[in-house]
Amino acid sequence: MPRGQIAFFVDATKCINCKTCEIACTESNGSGSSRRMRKVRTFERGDFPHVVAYNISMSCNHCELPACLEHCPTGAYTKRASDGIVVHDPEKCIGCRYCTWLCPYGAPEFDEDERKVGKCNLCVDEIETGEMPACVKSCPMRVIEVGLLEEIDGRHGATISVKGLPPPEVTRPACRYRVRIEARDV
Amino acid sequence: MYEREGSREWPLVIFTTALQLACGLAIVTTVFDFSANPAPIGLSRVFGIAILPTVAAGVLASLLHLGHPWLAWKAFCNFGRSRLSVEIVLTSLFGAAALLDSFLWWSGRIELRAAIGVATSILGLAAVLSSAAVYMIPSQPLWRSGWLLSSFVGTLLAVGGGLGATCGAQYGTGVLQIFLGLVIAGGLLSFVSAFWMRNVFRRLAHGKLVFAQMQAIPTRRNAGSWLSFVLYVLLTGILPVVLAAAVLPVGATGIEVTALRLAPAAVAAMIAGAMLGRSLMYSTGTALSRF
Repeated sequence: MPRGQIAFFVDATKCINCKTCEIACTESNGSGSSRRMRKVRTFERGDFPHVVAYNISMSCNHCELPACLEHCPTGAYTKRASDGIVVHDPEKCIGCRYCTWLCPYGAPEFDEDERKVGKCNLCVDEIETGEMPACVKSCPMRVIEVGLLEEIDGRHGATISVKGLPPPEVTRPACRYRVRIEARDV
Repeated sequence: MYEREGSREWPLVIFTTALQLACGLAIVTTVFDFSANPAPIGLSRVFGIAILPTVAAGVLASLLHLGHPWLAWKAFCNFGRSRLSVEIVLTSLFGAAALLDSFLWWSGRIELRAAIGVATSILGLAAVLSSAAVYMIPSQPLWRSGWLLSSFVGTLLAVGGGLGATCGAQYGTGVLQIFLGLVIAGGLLSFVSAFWMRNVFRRLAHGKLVFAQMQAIPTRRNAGSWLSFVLYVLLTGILPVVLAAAVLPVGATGIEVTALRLAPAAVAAMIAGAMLGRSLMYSTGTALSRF
């Protein structure tokens, strides 16, 4: 990971699945109705009476080895050296959708209106002016935070190994999640 | 939670199948040129001329997959890193070689045609292999397996050999037997790859990265996919092997003549079967659920 890697920290133990973050993200980024750059997914596991359900709010994980960047045929993706944010350039995108197959987390999404792919760029313009991304500002439960990965990594319960999520070795995501012990993939 | 995207990606189905068909045509017509009697005769000339339109049809179909087809030229930009860029560059080189090869077949010039045919066949093979590599990516564990490569090469061999068999007898028994051998090899490869695919799906169905894709592959609850799978196995695996095996001990018995007469229809059936198999493959492309 680059020094100074910025990442999301999502405390899924507090998420109530209200989807305010999704709406704020869509509003802020002007995404079409067919594309959501942040998604809250509900995972249900186990058999009665030992069942567990948890909500994970996820956008782009700004991975250390982003498959989208590696194999985009037009080079539309870049990982900023200063803060490790993976940015997508819509001017270069031709809408081939290869990145939607490449990303194990389903971060890039095709917009049927624009006929191009888009994904979370961590509201980079806001970050540069000292503001927080729309999802962080809007969450009523204060579930989503943004910070330096080296600080986030030290938080109690911070992990990327969550049951139901792809194995992190594939792309080495930068974002971290706090989940209940039953949801941890150990 | 995972779910399949559900799209059968018909433009890409047409593109990959056309690429394999064009490569098969290039190989077959090159074998004609290296036979004892290389002068173009009837259908073989048509096959030689058809290489270019087949590649062109595939490329045009692939453009329909893009959100902005007129910006397709940008796909060359990441040649050093992207598997998709490599595929596009190799397909373009194959197309350029096919232009020359088809022109030589059309004009009837035989000097240099065999050499151009070899170059076209090699570039076609490289394009087909690179197109398989595009899908064998870590984030798609269902595709990241030898069955995908086997099915691509199987189609190429079976369809190419089948086309060659339709007029191969004019070039001698030995040439016909080469084509029938290709049909059997391609058919067996397709048959093995179909069940290999099913086994990979079953093995991964409860894995970390895959657990809802079974909806997309043959199950009792998914009659459409079942039918596609059965037709795929019948048309690309069983049909070509049975027909080619009937003709292989070349003589002049009734069954051999009938089998050879059936060759054009069998090739059409093989192409249809290959397209069904490919559409099944695309429908199992997975991503994290949007909901």
